[in-house]
Amino acid sequence: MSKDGKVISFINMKGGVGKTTLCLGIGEYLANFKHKKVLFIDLDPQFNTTQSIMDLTDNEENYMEDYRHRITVRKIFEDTKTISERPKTPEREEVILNFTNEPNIDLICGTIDIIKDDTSNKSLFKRLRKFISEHKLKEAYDYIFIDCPPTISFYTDAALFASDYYLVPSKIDRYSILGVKMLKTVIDNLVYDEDIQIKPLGIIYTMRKMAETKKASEIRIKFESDSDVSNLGIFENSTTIVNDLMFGYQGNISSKYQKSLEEIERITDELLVRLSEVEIIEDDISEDTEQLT
Amino acid sequence: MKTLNSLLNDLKDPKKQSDIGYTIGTVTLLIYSKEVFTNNKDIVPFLKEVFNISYLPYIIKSRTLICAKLGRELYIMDKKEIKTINSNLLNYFEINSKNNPLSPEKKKQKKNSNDKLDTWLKGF
Repeated sequence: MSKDGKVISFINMKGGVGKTTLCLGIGEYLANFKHKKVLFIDLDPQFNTTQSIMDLTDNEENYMEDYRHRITVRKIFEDTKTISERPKTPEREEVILNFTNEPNIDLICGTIDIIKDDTSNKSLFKRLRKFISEHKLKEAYDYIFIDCPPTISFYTDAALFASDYYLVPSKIDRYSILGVKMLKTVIDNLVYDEDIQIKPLGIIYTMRKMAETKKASEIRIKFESDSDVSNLGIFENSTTIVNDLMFGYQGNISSKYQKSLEEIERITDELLVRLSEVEIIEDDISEDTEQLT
Repeated sequence: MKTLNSLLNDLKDPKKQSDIGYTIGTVTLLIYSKEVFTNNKDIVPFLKEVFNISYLPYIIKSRTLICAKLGRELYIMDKKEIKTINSNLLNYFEINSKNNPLSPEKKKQKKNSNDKLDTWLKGF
């Protein structure tokens, strides 16, 4: 049966807010606890999502020796070398990795080498969306999660252009409000230029302290009263600091530790509710337009 | 924790052999040991061969539950039965000493994420 996949970007212009951990946490939970087929796309040159999945599937040596030279996201953005050459979408197996020990998780590897790639051909950022549609990946996966770099770049444009939705992991601190503001600008510009239909799913607070201090709550209230922030919406559930995710022997996979498992469970449930709500609104809108025509 | 060998040697000691406390204690230590049984599923043949017992999967998922149930079984045994269990225990680990997880050539521990960091660090 063909699926109705959702492409979701995990994005914030601020680094170190837990994008990767949240992206992996929710994705792995959907794959292994909800039996969904999930594809991760690692567009961040720091490629921590890739490292984590390589560790999870015992492939770290294969990555260092083989995958990173051969099967990465770079293939998707490869430009033609001559004028007469026609661009060609790479085959699935040239880009997507499958794992026998994690059958519900597939990955398009990231690599630090993408920072060396020439992205001056401005239309190349559309390639990711093209790759997803040409291979009908939305019919093969329930969820496609894109881990984005924390900067305004070619790769953020590529991610947003390919996505149906975006999620904003954010810490509660002074600079996060600026990160969210900047993100809003980037997305507004892209929506204006490219006429895309990307929708926000909301902000998820990450790495909260168990007890919020008075000054932290002042910042949070200021943050939440910002109109861009309230338009994006804020998840009721959040994640707290879990040391195991940084140092634990099971890697930074939320479901491997009791506390983060409980948190990721609640966040994923809320995400699924939000997704279904957005879809209902979409259906209503399309019905309205049908009546009009 | 004591090594597997010293644990089993205690069982050979006639004074300790007739003491049910040693048997329950040794069995518990063995079951809790990740070196003796790397995965919980490795405990299944051990239970079958030594005690002729099999438990449902939900018990096997927890070493604590296995020990609790097994302790109860051992507690109601008489001296003769305990003796049989002791010799079964010794036999089990002697027979299995070739594929005993503690024998050096077989000792291949799964790498944890912090060990794997070395691969990443070496690569760059």
